[in-house]
Amino acid sequence: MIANSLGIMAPILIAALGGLISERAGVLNISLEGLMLTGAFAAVVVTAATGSIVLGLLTGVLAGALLAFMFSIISIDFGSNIFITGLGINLLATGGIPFISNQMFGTKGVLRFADMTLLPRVVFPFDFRIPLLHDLLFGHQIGVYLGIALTGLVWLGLYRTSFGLRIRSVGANPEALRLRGLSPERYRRIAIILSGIGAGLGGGLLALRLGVYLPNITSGRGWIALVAIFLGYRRPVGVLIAAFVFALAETVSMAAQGIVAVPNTVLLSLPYILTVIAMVVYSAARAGGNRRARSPR
Amino acid sequence: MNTQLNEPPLVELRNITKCFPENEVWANREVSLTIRRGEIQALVGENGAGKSTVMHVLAGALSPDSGQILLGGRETRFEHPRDAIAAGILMVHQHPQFVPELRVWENLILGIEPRGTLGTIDRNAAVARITELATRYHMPINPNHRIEYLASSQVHLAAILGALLRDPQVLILDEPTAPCSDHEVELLFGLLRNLAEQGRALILITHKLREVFAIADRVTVMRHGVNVAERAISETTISELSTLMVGEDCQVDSDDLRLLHAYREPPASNAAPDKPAQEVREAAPEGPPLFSIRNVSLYEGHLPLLSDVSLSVRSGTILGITGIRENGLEYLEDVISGSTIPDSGEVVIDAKRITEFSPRRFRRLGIAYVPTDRLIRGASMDASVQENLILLRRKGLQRRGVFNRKSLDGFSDQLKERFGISASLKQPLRRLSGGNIQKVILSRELSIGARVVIFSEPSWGLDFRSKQFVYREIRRLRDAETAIILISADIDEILSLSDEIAVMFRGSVATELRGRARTRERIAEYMLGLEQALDAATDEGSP
Amino acid sequence: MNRSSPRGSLAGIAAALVAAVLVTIVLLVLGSRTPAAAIRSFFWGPFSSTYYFGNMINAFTVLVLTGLGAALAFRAGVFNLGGEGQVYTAAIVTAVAANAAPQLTAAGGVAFALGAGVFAAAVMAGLSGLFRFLWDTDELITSFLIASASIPIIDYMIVGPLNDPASNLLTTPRIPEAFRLLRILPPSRLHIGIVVAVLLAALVFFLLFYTVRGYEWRLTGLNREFARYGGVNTGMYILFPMLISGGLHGVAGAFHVLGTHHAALVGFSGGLGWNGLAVALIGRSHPLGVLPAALVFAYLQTGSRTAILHTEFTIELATIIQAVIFFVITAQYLPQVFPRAARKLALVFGRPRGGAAPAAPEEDGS
Repeated sequence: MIANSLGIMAPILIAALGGLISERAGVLNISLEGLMLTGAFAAVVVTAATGSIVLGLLTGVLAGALLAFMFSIISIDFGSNIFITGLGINLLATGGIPFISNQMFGTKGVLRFADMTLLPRVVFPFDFRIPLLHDLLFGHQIGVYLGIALTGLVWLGLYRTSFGLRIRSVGANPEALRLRGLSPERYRRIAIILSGIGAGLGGGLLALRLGVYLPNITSGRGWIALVAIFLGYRRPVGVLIAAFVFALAETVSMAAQGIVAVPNTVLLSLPYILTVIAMVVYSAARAGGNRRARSPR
Repeated sequence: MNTQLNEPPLVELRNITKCFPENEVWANREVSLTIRRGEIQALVGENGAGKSTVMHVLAGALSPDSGQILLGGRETRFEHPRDAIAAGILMVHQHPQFVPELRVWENLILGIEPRGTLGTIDRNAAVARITELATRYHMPINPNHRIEYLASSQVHLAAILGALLRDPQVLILDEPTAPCSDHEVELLFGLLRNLAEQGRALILITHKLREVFAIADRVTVMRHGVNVAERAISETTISELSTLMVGEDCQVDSDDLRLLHAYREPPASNAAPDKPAQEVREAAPEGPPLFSIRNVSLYEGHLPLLSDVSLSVRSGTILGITGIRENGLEYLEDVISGSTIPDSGEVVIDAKRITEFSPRRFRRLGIAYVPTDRLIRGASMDASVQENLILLRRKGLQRRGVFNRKSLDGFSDQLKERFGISASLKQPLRRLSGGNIQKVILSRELSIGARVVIFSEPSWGLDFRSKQFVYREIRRLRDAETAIILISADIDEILSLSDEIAVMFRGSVATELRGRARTRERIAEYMLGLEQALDAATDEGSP
Repeated sequence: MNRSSPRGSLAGIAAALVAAVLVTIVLLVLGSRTPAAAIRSFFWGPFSSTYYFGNMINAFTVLVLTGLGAALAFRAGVFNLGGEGQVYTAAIVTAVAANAAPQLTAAGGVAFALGAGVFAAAVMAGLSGLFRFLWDTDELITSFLIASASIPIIDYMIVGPLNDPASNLLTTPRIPEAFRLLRILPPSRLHIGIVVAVLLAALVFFLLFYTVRGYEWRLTGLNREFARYGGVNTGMYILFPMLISGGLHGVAGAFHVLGTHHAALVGFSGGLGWNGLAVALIGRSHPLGVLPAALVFAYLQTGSRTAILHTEFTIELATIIQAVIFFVITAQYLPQVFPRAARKLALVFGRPRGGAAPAAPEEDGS
């Protein structure tokens, strides 16, 4: 169950980590869903064409980055509302992918290729036989390890490098950057592109896990990634926990199918309900803890 | 200091002109300035005279419509603050731009981060460098504190420290002493002299002529976007500068002058400290207090922020509360305005003990409040002038929940006229000058006919005329039998306005002074805690 | 009082509209084998028959309601991202309520069903407001999550227990005829709900800008701290904006059942919440700005639909066009990005615009 949750978590986590960077830079990127979808499509097509998972994932990343670059031009250079631009990017992905798919393969629907390479499970040269720990640590797909490694990397980047300091500063007070001779736009743009890279990679991993591209394959995972950013209190480790909580909720609801006499469709809402409950309980506990909190000065 | 005449000036501004189309005024018209090594130059003028604009041009934050900037005699262009920084020109803004949730050291090294292993920030090097600089210049700044928890005078010091890290040749300081107590001003001036002796050029934008005479070598006066005069400090007088600042048409009363510029005559005349005392009432009026706090304490964890504070004010009197910032003034402000619930003690208004602490409740009891924080607590910058004016009278200008447009406009026009607010009612407040914003806040707070009015730092950043206006209003209210609490770190302001003075030190009332006992020197001693030991022995100091 | 007019800058909006039309034409030409017919159908289609025109106005009705709902929340500084789920919830509740009480009079039935739907949606959004009020839980996320949770459940109910066995569509049974709202411009689906929507926009405008509560509402949205110090009960302006925002989305959902389809269709609310937010933002969160924004939006939607039905035009292209319009419609710097285009526009409209001049620094005092 934990192994399964980790598998579900990985794409959400990676997309959320990218989104976290842009969120910290003061850009609420609500287009993660569309960026993930684009990454998934590009990754499947290129993997099928070249037989290389690596090339496929790289293309997914590139596609996400390009679309995010477009986001940055529209929001920063055109000065469009960030929220509406994000909605537009999502629309562009939902309209553009079937359009391209139709031009290339004559179908707007499922893309299934023969001899599709699947994401490998990582095989370690060593292993232990302690049952629980074994399941927790070994035998996952590459995305899980990648996701956890990236969490560390994003943490390091945000809190230990000058780039991260500038990203965190531009989100809180862009004028502070400008007056120190730095360009807020530049750091915002890089952060947006990084969010595209994360979402593209997440989407690619999601699709290559299945080996097919389905319309709406992301089914709201981009939105969940966005929620995970806030649920994780805008911190990398928090995001990791939030993404895992959500994945666990989804695993629980999948496991519940067939056991509980609840229809499958209804179970789809369980992850959301559990997440809301977790969030409300957490904030209520926090509010109870510092009831006499003073307004910060 | 010594000016090398043979050497070209460090920086020269020639005929700088800048116009903001939306304001339809010339912010700067053909302004020329010369900046020399090792010299402290003061830039004075009223609000809106264009001092900040020309300095923003010099710091690369604004590009001029026309004019030249010469660096060591060679013409140059600043498109962005980074160009000015590269040329060694740094500006410490009136409201320093920091990231509040980050630590001091993180804020200071932003943009010049020392790199360590693997491209990460070398935190130790950064902290060590900042600590070293802070120690060298006697600045009480801990690099590991978060900016959001610093007092505003410390924020300014931190900003100056940040500029020094970048080793500036020209350092521009915009109203650096506004949030400082006398003690902190002395500290700052020591630092400035030190920097000038190192051969750096310093430019000080200020309203206070006392400071000009205390520190500057040269002074430039600006009025309506033009520099009207430049003087060596030894060749001018305070009255000449005042006249230059406000123009010939404005009458300057000599008493006001002394007060407004916080200027003390040389000790020989010995008239200044006694003069204000004659204006205030010697004996406290009879009657029960209108507003009092009793044994109020406030803690942050186990740390006392306020301990056992008791104060009261009667109608027709002004209670001045002063102290160095960080000694509890801001917490006291929060308690008496209803925004913080004290951990113990009580607040009594009009003989009623207050049980519910909220700004709403305090408003209902008829307390007017002019807060220190004007931009957030005191006004809404995005709302219009009218929307800011009617806040407290909204219930009286309506019928069945719908605003009566006639009484709305009548009311706003009346306030606008009486307080001389020069702006249209529909303008967003953001467009107004600092003085006008403060007038909007004042006129709103005074529009309810409150019996108790709290003023906190009412004259921060205000120019001559606006200050004069604010003081006149405070006195007028006192004469109309209002109970007034005036919180201010400015001793001169406190001395000239208050009937009774409470001095705060480390979260408690160090002393309360009235009548003849109120002298500048005594207050300063209590502020610094010097009188603590002697307290029991003195007869005037009542606990 | 400052009504922060939705006028904005004329040249900016004109540039955005021209850019939108140009991009649409380019995409129509590229994406269709019969470009002339597609362009004609896209731009003229909505006016070609009563049916299309009526449906456009009906789409406008829905967008006005959801746009108002989003704008009202924005004005109080809170965010309701759950519009989609609220519309859907209101629809199913309205359908169930209408079918549960067939004995009521026409007016009574409409009032009961409408009231039930609006109540359900208001409670749903109000819950997020309540959490924020009580524990400072971010209402932006909870409203989104709660709405997302509701959608699969309602899908299931329409497909399962509440399905209409007589219909081969995935829908609830049709509501009693007596409760159906009066249709205008048949055969289109336009109903008298349009009047309600426009009146509500006027009412919201009046309430926001002419009443004390509306003033407090806006002031809280602009600066919560300042409003609090002015004695405004700011807690109420978290709760009520969410309730009313949800309620307006509820009206949209209830009208879908009572006026448009006479039943709740599975998945009909897809995209409605987001479109409402977009309309609110394009209309600068102004109740009267929402009206033209909703109209442009409805026109584009209907134009796409006619072009799809009558030409080679596809739903994908329609989506892409909508995306591009989103990109340019709120753009502030288009005149600078395309300086030449801007200069020409300035000649046409006779009003040059400097665009985003750097903000004047605060002059001296604070």
